[in-house]
Amino acid sequence: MTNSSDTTDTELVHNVQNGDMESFRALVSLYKDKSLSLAISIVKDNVLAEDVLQEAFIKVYKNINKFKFKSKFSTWLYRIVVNTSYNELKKQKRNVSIEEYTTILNKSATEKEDQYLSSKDQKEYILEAMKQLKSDEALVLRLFYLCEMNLKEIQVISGFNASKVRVTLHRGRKNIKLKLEKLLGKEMYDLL
Amino acid sequence: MKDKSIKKIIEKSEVKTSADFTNTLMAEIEKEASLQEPVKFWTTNQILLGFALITIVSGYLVYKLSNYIFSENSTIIPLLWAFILLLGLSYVLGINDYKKLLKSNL
Repeated sequence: MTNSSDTTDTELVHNVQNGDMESFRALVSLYKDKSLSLAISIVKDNVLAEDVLQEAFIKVYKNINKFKFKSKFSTWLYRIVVNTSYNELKKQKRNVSIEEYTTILNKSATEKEDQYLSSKDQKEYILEAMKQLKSDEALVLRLFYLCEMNLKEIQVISGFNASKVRVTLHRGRKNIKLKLEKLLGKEMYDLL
Repeated sequence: MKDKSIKKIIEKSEVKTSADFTNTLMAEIEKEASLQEPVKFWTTNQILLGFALITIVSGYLVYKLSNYIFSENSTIIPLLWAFILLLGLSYVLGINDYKKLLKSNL
């Protein structure tokens, strides 16, 4: 997140604190996709993740007057999204097992062999690989590479300690590569 | 795999919300905001006035009670108790009405 976007966030948050709903709409538009990606990392279900995100944004709106600018708005928001997602996961007691995706995995590897991967296909395979990762790994990878959070911020958002963040990030990198290799074979190198 | 390559891959894992997500969310927030009746608390002045009244009434009551112990057939004490009980009853009924109003709004 750049400094200019931090300034924009600060202005928008101030406006929302003064009752401007349009500024809240702008904040939602800015962060909804990244936040949804974080929620999906944890709950592994697109529809459920969108419900979680809605709940999280309502929490943000209700508590925005408590935000005192001690951290970046994005850090505060992502923390709420992550907490809401983990709470939902506890409620659902949804266990996503590797076996659940084995069929897709095997089918994909054979069907897609020697075929050119369109950009849409690439995205689908990446999303599939991300779903196969453990929640913690997918979350830390997305926080680091997609949301461009530093390790300290990831600690705050995820509630993990410094060593867990480093280890999870390392495992995540290793596992995403393995998943994509299994899923795509040589086609994986088209992604790079 | 290089860090840059992983970044490129993870960036492609961004998921878009449904087209009506923002509108649905804003509508939900507006709905919740309209349902939440602001709880009216007493102002500091009202609390101070209430406290002063209670002090006066209880002081008077204690004074009268001490007199009653030494005098006979005083009617002021039962009257005061009846008045306090009526006030309490009216307060309970008021809370009940407020609860009904909140329920009807939900």
